[in-house]
Amino acid sequence: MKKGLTYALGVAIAAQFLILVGMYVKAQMPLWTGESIRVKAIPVDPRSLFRGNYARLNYDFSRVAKSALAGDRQVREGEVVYVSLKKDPSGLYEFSAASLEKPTEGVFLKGRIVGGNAWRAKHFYRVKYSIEAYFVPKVKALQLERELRDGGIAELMVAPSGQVTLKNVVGDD
Amino acid sequence: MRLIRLLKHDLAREAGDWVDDGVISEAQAELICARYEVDYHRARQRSMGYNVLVGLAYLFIALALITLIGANWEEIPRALRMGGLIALTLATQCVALRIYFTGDPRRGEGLFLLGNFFFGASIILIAQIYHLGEYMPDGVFWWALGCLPFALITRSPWLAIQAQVLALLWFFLQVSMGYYPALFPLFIAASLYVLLRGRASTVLMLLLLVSIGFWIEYTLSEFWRSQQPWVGLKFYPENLAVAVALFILLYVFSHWLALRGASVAKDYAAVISVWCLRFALVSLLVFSFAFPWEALIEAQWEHRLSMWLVVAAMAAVTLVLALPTRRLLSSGLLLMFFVGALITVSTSDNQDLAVYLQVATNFALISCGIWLIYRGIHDGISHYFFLGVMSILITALLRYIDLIGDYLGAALIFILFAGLLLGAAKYWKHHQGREEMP
Repeated sequence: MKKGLTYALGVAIAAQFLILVGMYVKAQMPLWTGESIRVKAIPVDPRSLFRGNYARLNYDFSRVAKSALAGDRQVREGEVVYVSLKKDPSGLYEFSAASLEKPTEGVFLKGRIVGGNAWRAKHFYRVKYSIEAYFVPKVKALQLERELRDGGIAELMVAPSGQVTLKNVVGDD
Repeated sequence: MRLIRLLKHDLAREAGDWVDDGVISEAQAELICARYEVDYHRARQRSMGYNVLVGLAYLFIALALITLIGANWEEIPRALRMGGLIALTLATQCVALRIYFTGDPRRGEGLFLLGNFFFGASIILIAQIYHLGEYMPDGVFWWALGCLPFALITRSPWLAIQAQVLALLWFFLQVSMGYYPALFPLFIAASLYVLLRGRASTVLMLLLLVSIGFWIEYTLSEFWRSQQPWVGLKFYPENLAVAVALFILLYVFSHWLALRGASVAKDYAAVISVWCLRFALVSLLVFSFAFPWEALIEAQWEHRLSMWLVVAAMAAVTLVLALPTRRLLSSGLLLMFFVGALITVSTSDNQDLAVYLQVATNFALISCGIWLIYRGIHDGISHYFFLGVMSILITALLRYIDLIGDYLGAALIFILFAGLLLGAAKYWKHHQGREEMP
């Protein structure tokens, strides 16, 4: 009995370890396998109760026109949406198209339609991609806020699945 | 239902003092404690306070660590920060495992609790390092899931409470973002298992009931939303009706539970009953105003059929449970009033009805107050007595501030309240006189 319990608790400890490794690998995957792209970002400066100071970033493609998904079936809150990006002449990536189906080619981000207000807004859905927070120490956060007052550039790593990780944020020089 | 059950451990300590002072013998103290199914000797050496303080200390250690993570020391390499925290988590859990089997199991459980906090801190650190700002619910879910096996294996209520609180946090984060947390029943089932197979815990029992209640409400909300895909996850007016039906069911369930043989069932029954009573009084106070009734009359009530099916199922279970508790008449009347009010607000769009419903609620509130004062004095339960007095005083104050109708109408209602209270007092005196007669 005691041996069985010891074994079970050992498995529980191992499970916690595996969860942590899994989260690390999942977060690291776009950095290992992804393509680096640069997009325009607009920062806001809030604070997370647990995780410290961060710059909240908005992107042009954080709002997707309802007409862009008009041909697809009815959209639900929390639904996965794929946003395709195309390179503009300056080398930055910008919104190209949106779909509820996974695109077969090109650079695309996997996001989710969020917010209770999504259906109150007349023309847009709000989409989040897990790249909206850039955690930095307090002093750096304040400096970043000053530097990015007129907008900045976010460096993203996009995996072939559409999963995206925020790598860096710099001023728009 | 005797509320003194909730204070039985204090009673055991008090009996111990009486024994020390020579007022009663130890055998008599044991007999007094046996009436409430509490072990006189174990209750005197109870370590509840010690356990709570240690648990809170561990919580503060975890908060200190999480706050340190918040400082975001970029000078320390990522790998070192993360490796250090993961090593700390694993080391704490291994020490806890060793102490659990070789020393004091309760201390081992406490260290598992601390290890689980460190596990959560590691998840938070990964979220910070990789800027995972918006998918925090996933992190909380994995934190809760990682704690769950420890609760199930040790059957420790403290570890189950930790997992259930985290699961509830994940639940609310999910629904606030519009997602239905489909895996939540897993945590409910685990807590139920620990509650049935582990040590008794009133906190876990209440947490479980709250979890089941929210799960039922949001499952219905998800079902109703699926009929209107463009709508987010929210509370409908129908959810309120289901909540009231749930509380009536829970109240009768508490009386059914009180009839069980097990002492712990009787303890749980006392707690559920008193919380249902508090909920009923607070609800009546809210509905003693006109605006909630007006809002309900104005509401759309688009899911009437499914709401009635759920309410009918709950009413049926309520009546089945009421049979052995001999509360068929009182619970039947309660259900009748509830169904009557529900039919009125869900079928009519006449806003004038709100005032009548408001007046009826105020009389129900005063009647509840009188009943509680009577029960408080008749059965010697001071909690009921003070609850009754408070509800009558608050009703009087609220009605003085927020008059029903004009001044004349409000004065008439105050006179009727006074008549009701004087009538109750006279009946009581009459009843007391009959009891004192030889």
